[in-house]
Amino acid sequence: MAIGSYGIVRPADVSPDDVDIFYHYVSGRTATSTVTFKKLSPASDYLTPVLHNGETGGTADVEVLGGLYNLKLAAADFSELGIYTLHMRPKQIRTVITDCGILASLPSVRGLVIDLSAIPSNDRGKFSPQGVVGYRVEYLDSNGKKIPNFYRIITSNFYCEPVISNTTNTSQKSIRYRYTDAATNFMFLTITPSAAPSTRPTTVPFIGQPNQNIILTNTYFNPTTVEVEMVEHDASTLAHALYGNQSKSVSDGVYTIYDNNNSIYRQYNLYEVKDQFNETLYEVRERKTDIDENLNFNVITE
Amino acid sequence: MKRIKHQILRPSTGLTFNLPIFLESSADEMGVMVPFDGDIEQVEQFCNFTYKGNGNDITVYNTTNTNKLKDLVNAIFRISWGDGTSNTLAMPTVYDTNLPYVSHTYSSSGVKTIEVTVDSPWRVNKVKKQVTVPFTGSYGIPTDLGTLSFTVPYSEPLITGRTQNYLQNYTTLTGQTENTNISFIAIGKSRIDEVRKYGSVNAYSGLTITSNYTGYSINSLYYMDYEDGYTHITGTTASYQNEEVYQGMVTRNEHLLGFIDEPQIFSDIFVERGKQGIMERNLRLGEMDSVGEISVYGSGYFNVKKQ
Repeated sequence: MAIGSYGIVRPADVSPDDVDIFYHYVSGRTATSTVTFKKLSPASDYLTPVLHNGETGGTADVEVLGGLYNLKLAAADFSELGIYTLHMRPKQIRTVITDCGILASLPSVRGLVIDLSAIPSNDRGKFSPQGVVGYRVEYLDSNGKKIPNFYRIITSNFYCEPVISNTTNTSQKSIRYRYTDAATNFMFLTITPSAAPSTRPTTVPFIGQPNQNIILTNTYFNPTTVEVEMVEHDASTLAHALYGNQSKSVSDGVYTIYDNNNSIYRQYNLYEVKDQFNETLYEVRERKTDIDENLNFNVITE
Repeated sequence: MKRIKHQILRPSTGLTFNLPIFLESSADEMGVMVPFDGDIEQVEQFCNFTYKGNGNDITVYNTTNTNKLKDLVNAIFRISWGDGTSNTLAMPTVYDTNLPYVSHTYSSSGVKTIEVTVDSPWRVNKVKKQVTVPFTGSYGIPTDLGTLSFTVPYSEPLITGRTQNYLQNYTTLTGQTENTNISFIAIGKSRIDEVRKYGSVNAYSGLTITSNYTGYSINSLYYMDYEDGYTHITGTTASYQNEEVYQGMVTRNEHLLGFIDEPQIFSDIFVERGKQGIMERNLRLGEMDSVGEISVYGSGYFNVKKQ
């Protein structure tokens, strides 16, 4: 066997329809901050892949560049100051195990039978032969709790059908299946690990049981979390205050700060006020909301 | 999982931002496919059951596999319903066609543990399954998946509301009617010596000489002779069936996960069979070409005494 260096990380080209996006918002880092937590759905409204253009090669506006996506932060959801945490993970499909079985000629290989009619209609198209290879199976207990640190990986999936001989009496539920070429409502998923180690052949790994609720998750990309902090000031606006052009209208006490385009960034009223009781004199700088456009930098310096 | 942080200046008016992000995936080998006969059986063959329910009524079927366990005679199946009552369950006589069953009606609701015990001269097995009564629905095999609605991914503008009849479309796909052409490359032997134009069979065309290789076409295949002695042969197949529509009975054996090829067995063990034939020594003498070969034949088959 050859030894070489190789990378196993590839740019994801997952369809946004296979992504779940969760939105978490707090106004501050304090523990008492109110949390807004919801799912941004459909994900395709918020996540769009970057496509090739005439400069990058590939079929322009058709072929996915790969890896690079645009995450849309809609004004309706991202208008407040605070911390937004966006968690993107592969989409989950919830269903129930119809039956468990073993392959007759490979008895050590066990798998799950699922009823496709119990799959949400939007996700049913993924369940073509070999369509969900690599999906992860996670399990829920009878109380609805997810069994922690426990999962299996689907290694193959094909249509199967209950054996025909059993259908003469429709009141009986079949306990045997067979792979079929034509599409059926049942799919047999082989998963790993499912075989007992050779040293302890009776220690068979748990793969689930009939009627158990499971979660199927694609593995098309690695989950990621993006934190977006909506701030009042960033480095460039602070630089306006520190290094930007400024003017002070002495007669009316209007203090103006300009941005790098010499547009008015902030205006303040400067005045003095004396406390009527203890005669203390204060110098005040108060933000001016009705901007005096006559104090445009280019106008007053020409 | 990576965590990425961005800082955005809140605008004075509501604006929608586009934030470029990078999504990555990790590639791994899922192992080779192995063929199998397509049969799927119940996990537990010796003692097992299925059930069907409606309301507080339940019917339990004995699914012990008498095809594989033909010697399972004199076995007694008992079923405990989980409410203090029990029955005897018959053993299947013809597997798959007539499963023996016994019915029961629960007088109360809740989670019941049904327990079937097989008591045979060789072993005693017990299988428990929990059911919740009353049953809100009964088991059945649906015959129609209806219509699938979906949005075409990556379409711009987004194409929504597309529908297809699930069964019919996949029946077409799995009927192996979806063919495609595929290009391939192989390593082979140079045929530059055959460039003599003997009629149309061995005719070549498109001779290209570059600094890296000499290229030519024979019988719709393109040959590239490289200076290191290897020849790349490229071509295009017709009516190639890709993996998605391959419908052979295959699965992935997890013992082969991580392997890229099926295991091969190499053996250099020579098994010498016993000396059983009375004429064997005489016949073996016929396998030798010279007297000197006697001493080395069969790693010492003949006991040669040198004087």
